[in-house]
Amino acid sequence: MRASPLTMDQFAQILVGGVLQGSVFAIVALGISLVYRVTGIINLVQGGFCIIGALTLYSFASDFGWPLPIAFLAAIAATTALGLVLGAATFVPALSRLPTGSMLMLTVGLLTFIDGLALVVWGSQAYAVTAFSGEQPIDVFGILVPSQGLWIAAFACVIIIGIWLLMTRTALGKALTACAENPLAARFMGVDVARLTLFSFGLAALIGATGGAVVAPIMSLQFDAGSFFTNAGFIAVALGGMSSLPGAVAGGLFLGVAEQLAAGYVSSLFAGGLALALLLATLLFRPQGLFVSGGPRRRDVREELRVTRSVVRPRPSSVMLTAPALLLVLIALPYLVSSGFMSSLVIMLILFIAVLGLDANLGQAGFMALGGYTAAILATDYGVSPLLGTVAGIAISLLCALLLSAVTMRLRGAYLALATLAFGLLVDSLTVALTDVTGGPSGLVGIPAFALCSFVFASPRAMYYLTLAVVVVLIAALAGAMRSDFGRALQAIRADQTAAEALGISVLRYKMAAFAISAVLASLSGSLLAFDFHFLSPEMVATPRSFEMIAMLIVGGEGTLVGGLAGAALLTLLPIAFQPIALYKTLVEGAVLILAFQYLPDGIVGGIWRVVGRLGRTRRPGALAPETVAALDTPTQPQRQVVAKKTPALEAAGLAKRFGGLQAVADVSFAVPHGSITALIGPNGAGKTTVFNLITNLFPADRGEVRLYGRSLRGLTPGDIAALGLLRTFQTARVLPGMTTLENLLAGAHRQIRHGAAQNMLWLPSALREERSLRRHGEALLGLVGLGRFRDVAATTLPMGAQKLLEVCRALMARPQLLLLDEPAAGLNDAETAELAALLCAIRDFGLTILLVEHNMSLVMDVADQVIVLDLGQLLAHGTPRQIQGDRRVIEAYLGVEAKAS
Amino acid sequence: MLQLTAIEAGYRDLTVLRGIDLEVRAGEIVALIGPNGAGKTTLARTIAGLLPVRRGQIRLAGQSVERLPPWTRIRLGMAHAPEGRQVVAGLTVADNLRLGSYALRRQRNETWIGGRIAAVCELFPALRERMNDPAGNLSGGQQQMLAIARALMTEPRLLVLDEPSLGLAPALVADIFRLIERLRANGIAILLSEQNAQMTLAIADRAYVIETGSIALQGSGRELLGRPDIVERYLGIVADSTSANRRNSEDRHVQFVRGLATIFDA
Repeated sequence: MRASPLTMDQFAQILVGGVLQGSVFAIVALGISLVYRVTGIINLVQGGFCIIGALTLYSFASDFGWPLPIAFLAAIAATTALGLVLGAATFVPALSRLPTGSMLMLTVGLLTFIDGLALVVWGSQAYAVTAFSGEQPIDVFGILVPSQGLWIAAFACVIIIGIWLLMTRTALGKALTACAENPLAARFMGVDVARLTLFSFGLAALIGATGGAVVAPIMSLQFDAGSFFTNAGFIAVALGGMSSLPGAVAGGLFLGVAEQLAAGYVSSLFAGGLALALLLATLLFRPQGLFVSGGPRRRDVREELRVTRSVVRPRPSSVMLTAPALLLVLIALPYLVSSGFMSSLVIMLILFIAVLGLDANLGQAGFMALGGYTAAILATDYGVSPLLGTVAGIAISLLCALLLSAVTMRLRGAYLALATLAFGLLVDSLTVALTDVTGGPSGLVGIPAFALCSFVFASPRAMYYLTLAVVVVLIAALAGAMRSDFGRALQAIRADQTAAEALGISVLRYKMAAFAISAVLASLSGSLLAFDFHFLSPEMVATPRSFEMIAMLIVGGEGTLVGGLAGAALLTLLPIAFQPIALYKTLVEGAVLILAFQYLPDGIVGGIWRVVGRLGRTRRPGALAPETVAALDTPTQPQRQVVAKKTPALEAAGLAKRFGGLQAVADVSFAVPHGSITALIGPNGAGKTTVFNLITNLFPADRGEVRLYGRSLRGLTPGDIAALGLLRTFQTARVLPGMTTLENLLAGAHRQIRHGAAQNMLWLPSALREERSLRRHGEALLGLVGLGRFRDVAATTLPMGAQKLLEVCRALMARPQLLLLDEPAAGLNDAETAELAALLCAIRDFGLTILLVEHNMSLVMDVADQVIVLDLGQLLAHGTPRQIQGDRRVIEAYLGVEAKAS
Repeated sequence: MLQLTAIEAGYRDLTVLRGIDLEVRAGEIVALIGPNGAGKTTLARTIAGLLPVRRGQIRLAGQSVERLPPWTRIRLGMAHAPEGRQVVAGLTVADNLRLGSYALRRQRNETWIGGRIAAVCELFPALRERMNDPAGNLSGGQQQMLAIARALMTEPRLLVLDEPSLGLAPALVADIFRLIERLRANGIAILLSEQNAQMTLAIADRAYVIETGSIALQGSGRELLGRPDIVERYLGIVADSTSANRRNSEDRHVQFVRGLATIFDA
């Protein structure tokens, strides 16, 4: 802490230093922002290009002895070439195949690869480059500016102006903007999006190389400085507004000045923490950035050209065979390997525990740190038993997780990822800065071994069996949860959040639950790590560990529970194998990550299941259990008594909605009687789907009210409304991708499920019974409507008509009171439409109420008890089908005033 | 002008279009009608070159183009107004129009582009007033006009319009359809993909009906307008329900009721 306030001169000095540092950050940020603008991916490799630029400058200038200007240009050219090669080989082809999360990890893999390359070529020592214009600082208005500073400022200006000119004044720049905002439109206009993506990737490399080369003289160059540049760059970008180029510059300068001021007035350790606190605050309160007023959102091209893949599920028989075998191998392993290797196995298992969390996020290591340090400090300094210490750690992590998720849940996608990353980095800086508590960078020593009752797990073998036992218990619990409704709800949320909400799944609660589970497991993992090593330092639980763990998960197989184990094994044991050639370890790790992300989208385990599935016995079509078939044929149940109700199932009063200049719905009022089928018809653009969306509060109505059996739905979310028994389907069937037909169907039953995650984790018999009964019902329903043969197939590969039918059945599984069906007959041929008609009547006779939007007139005539006609957002007529059929106004609305009815 | 022969196409694991044969000649409007999910947009994307062709041929002005990238097809005379308009909201109207001629940027100079902009503004006077406004500020109807104007920037010989009437008020739709007829009079071949069958069939010379990825019917616009099953299914005109399937569906009805009771009351 400073004893005396700074003088004006000192303040000005700090300011200048801040602007210079900020210029460097701005350059890195510009590169990240450029790639984000064009692709929507936060390119974490950017820092790597900076350090390669700097190191090649060293080589060309000092080793080869080239004159400085030539060396400078050559360094930039070489690094840009490297960037283009890497981009063409990995980034650009992967962009059309991988989801955003995996692309992010691919860039991490690339950064690791570049770090490794730097290590191999330049070794781990530090290098220095002489300043371009000599060491003498220059006096500018009484402030001493390092001569290199002027070069930095000059190049920063050139780059910024150059990029600005490119983006706003050239056709290429406009095309780049188009790629960023609407890649589909760009492609239709003949823009080669792939080539422009490569161009921007290369341009970003050029920018990074220039920045690195020009800043090289004022810092010590080491192979792993890439991460430092990247961290600063992405914080600057997030502060400034991710897709705004001027914002990136502003963010960089702001960050530079803020950090220097913090370092000057407080201490340099807190400078880093301040940056992260700023970042978190920005993400929470102004996610679009401090300097941006909010811009157009990017449309994901992968959404438009949707990738449909078949779903991979391990057969229960395969699991039955492999699980015990694997367990036996793992139990026997200590007797087969050396003690040293066993220590690595323990680490592998401990990291696997952290990865078991279902929601791998970028702040995972932060929770490891919280759990590890809490347990270690309590056990070492206060003599608390290790078990209690671990539990305390878990409690603290859980608290932090719930707090963090509560405030960040409004964030989506990239912003959420950044927020968790910021949290992780914040914990990193705290573990280093709070030396009194955590022992600072040198870490905590003397941590006792883990002990249970009086048994001390001192030897590696004892720790191995302990962690193995923990892993087995956790897998059993998680497997129980994931194969139940809890797991399906999580999958549904990941697959299609809107559809999940429409089924009554409370998205916020489930996301928080998944996040909390991750945090708890990470905390446990951190504690075990501390007790295993008898030592804990910030390095062991820092953010690179988070990246490593996500890599394990993706490489091993994201959709599987044991995938993480394969990934952990690969990434923990691989370095052991490479110990003799430690120099190449990082390079190989990076290469493995890149190859795995690109070519093994399902991960190792997922890939194995896919191959096994293909080689397996002839694929039997999903067959119904014999009892179900028999029950469906014999008339055992007497005709159900349908209770008549006076209250209309649904009442809409004075609904109105305007979109910009268009009054989509104007003063629409109607009632749907209980136990009826009501059809809502009208020409294209009449506002029918808008009315549906207003009823379910997908967006709020400007005016008017909706009542479900007399209960007002005002202010409720779509999820609340679904939970009350009003289920809807969508105009384009929203079946959940990545799940089979049966799983889709069972997800619909969510609101009826009585047994939660906890009971399923314990494999309670009543929970198992409920699941079994649910599956029986689901299969029977599939069989009834003729979808039985699609039972185990990916739902998104079904023909459109079958998907729509599946959606109806999925809604039915929720035992709704009222079904809203949006064009259920779209895409069905005549025979299928007749089937649907029979089904709808049966649903009504079963006691449910149906409101449907339809264009298919014969279906409407056949099934509807009441028909409501909309035109241009207004109620035109209502009555029985017969009445509507003869209504001249209706006929004219469909045909237009001039035409005649045929 | 455009000939599709036995086209099979789709997305990664999913085949959407099967055995599509289709032809559009110069100076005619060919309608492609069908319900949601039938494959109209997939077909438009395949013709544009955004989706690869698995089997079959696409010929443009006699030349095989199924292996050629989108920009080459544009240079050969094809233009698109995609579904949902797809204007770039952050760019001005003028820049959006320029984007339309991006594929020709090496073959044409600034004067020519200026001339084209003037020419399309002739057809769409409303755009002239809003040249420097961001395209995102335009109304739906104006955006649709911009999308068509953008497509016309390259002086195409084939114009593919994917659901231009979507979400527009009938008066506006009538304007757009009148414009399409004007373009036909200038000799452009037009493929018009629509859900709004009635107005489309009225101006179409020929029409194809697409259902679940295949061509179900074809004929002249007038012919199809006169067919009762088309009328019923696509025009939404109330008609006598020809419940030939009625008796079958009554059996199924009983089966369904029993089935539901078994499944849910058990």
